[in-house]
Amino acid sequence: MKNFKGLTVTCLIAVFYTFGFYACNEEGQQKQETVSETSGPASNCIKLFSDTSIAPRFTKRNPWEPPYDVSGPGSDLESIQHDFDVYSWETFIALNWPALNNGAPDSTTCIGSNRDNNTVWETWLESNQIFRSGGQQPVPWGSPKTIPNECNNLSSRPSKMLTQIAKVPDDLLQEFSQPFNTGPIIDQDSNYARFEILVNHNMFDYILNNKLYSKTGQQDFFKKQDAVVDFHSGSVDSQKVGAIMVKAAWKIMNPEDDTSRYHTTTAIIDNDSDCSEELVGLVGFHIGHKTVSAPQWIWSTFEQVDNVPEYDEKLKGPKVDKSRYNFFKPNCKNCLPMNQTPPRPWNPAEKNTPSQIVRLTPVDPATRQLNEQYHNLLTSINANTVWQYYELISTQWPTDPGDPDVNPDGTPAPQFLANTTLETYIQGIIKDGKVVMVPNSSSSCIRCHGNATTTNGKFSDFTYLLERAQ
Amino acid sequence: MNSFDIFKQLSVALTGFTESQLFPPLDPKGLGKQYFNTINEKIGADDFNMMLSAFNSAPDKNLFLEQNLQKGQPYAPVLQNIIKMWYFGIWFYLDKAPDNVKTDLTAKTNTIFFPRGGYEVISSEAYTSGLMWQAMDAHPMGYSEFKTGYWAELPPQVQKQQKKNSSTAKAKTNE
Repeated sequence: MKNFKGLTVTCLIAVFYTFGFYACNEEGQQKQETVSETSGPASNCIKLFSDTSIAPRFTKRNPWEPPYDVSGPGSDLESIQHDFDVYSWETFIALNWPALNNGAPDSTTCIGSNRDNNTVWETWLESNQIFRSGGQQPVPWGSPKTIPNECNNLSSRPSKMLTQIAKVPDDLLQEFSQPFNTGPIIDQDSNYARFEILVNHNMFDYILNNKLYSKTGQQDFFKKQDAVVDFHSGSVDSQKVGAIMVKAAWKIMNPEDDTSRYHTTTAIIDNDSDCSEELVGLVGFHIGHKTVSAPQWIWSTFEQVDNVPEYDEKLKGPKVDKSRYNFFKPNCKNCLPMNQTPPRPWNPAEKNTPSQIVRLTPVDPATRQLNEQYHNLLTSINANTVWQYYELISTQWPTDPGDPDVNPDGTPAPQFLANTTLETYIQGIIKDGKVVMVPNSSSSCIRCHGNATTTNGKFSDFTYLLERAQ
Repeated sequence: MNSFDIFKQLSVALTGFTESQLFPPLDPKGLGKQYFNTINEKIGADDFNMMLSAFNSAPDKNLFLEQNLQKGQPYAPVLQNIIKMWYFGIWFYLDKAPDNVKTDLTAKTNTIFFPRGGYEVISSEAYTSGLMWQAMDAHPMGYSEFKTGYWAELPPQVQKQQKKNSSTAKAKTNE
């Protein structure tokens, strides 16, 4: 792991304030001249993000464009992991770039320059807009969020009012349970965390064009000889981004939460029987991207830094270093046992016992160092940016992607990966004080998603979304 | 050559799999290292290194294995255990023989081992990655990396062989 942090960030910050974002080296300057001719804040941003010391920069592109693929020069596990982690951060930054009303990234501004911002990915279509009741055709790309009947009272409010409250479009959060119904996660104010899944235009088009949004469409699709679901892959050669899906976890903000540390938005919380409008903060974020070099997809996962403490095998318990966490209460004697599901019934309309969650696999030191580098980069745009409070947990990628028939999962690295807000209860187990991983039951993005199918039991190319077709 | 490198050669010779299959250049599972450490732990570094040195210095390594895998040979239980470890992901327990047994047999090694009975699974990954599953084109109970619906199709290697045969036959017809 190269340590450029001190040199690079100091240099960038110093130059930024002294000369207005001139790049620190010739290579970076040359790159910028070819990337964009934008001027003003965006130009400054481009220069900042063209810092070649953190990268590999995978291709010449603007910071609001996700990398097309990973094609770094690494030859061993550690250096390639670093390339994938850089890819994850660059993708995170691109997807969280400020969005225009049409959902396109706003190239005239910079991520977090106003502390928080609306984001590109939140303008994408949400799963319930694609997989609709009775197998109806999805809503057109760019449609506003669909408001269910039970929330009509709220949706009848003037949209302008909602826009004034939130910096991003209204959001609808219905889901509260986790993969395989392993259980919900409850925050320290006894509220259920909520989830949503969204896909990019590329992935949406594939679903739409192949009519995979309905059960009937899926049956017809597989009538063709040798038909297989095969989403488009991101490619450096064609300079195109492939299918991307994101899953986000949100918590309801309360007066004790420091909202300056979260990306927040106003959301309609749907509990089937009633709806409410709440300010919610982003606490977990998965990104899955299919690329040429990773037909098993690349899986990046981020969390808000205040979520949970890490487990320490020496202490045989959590290493507590904060007074308040989102999903853990320090020095609590009457709390639930560590990483235990909350008591049933699981009714998100009612409060439940707060979760007592601990991260079982610590963030790798190299990834932690990279997080620090990107945090420094982000704070050089705005010292109060909310994006500095998000950390990459890791990136899972296939080490042997070549022959999916013989080795379908491509032997992923790291072998296991869990986000504490999204795979809370399948992080692994503790045996004699040590964390133990169990294949098939401990969280692995690629291995789990490799089992995903369509509604008629066919391989669905690593997405469970197609099971939602009606 | 260090002892781990010799262990790589020994593993290839004992299993019939290639070095890149047993010790991939990008190896997140790290089974080879795990097995190397297991043997060191179970029989002790002295005895393990002595066996590795004997293998490494043998002019004909295949002949060395042929002879030393025979029942009654001092290295046989450990060598057999290494084969079983790679194929099953299991360590079969060994006991140390009393000193008089050692002298009766041979003076080639510090310690004579013999099977005690019983075993332990080295790790969950070791079990699911056992070479026997690849050799059989199958998978362990309760765990499969194949895509859903594989059970209705021929095993991947058989499919590949069929395709190969078919293209060879086609090429011959064209001749």
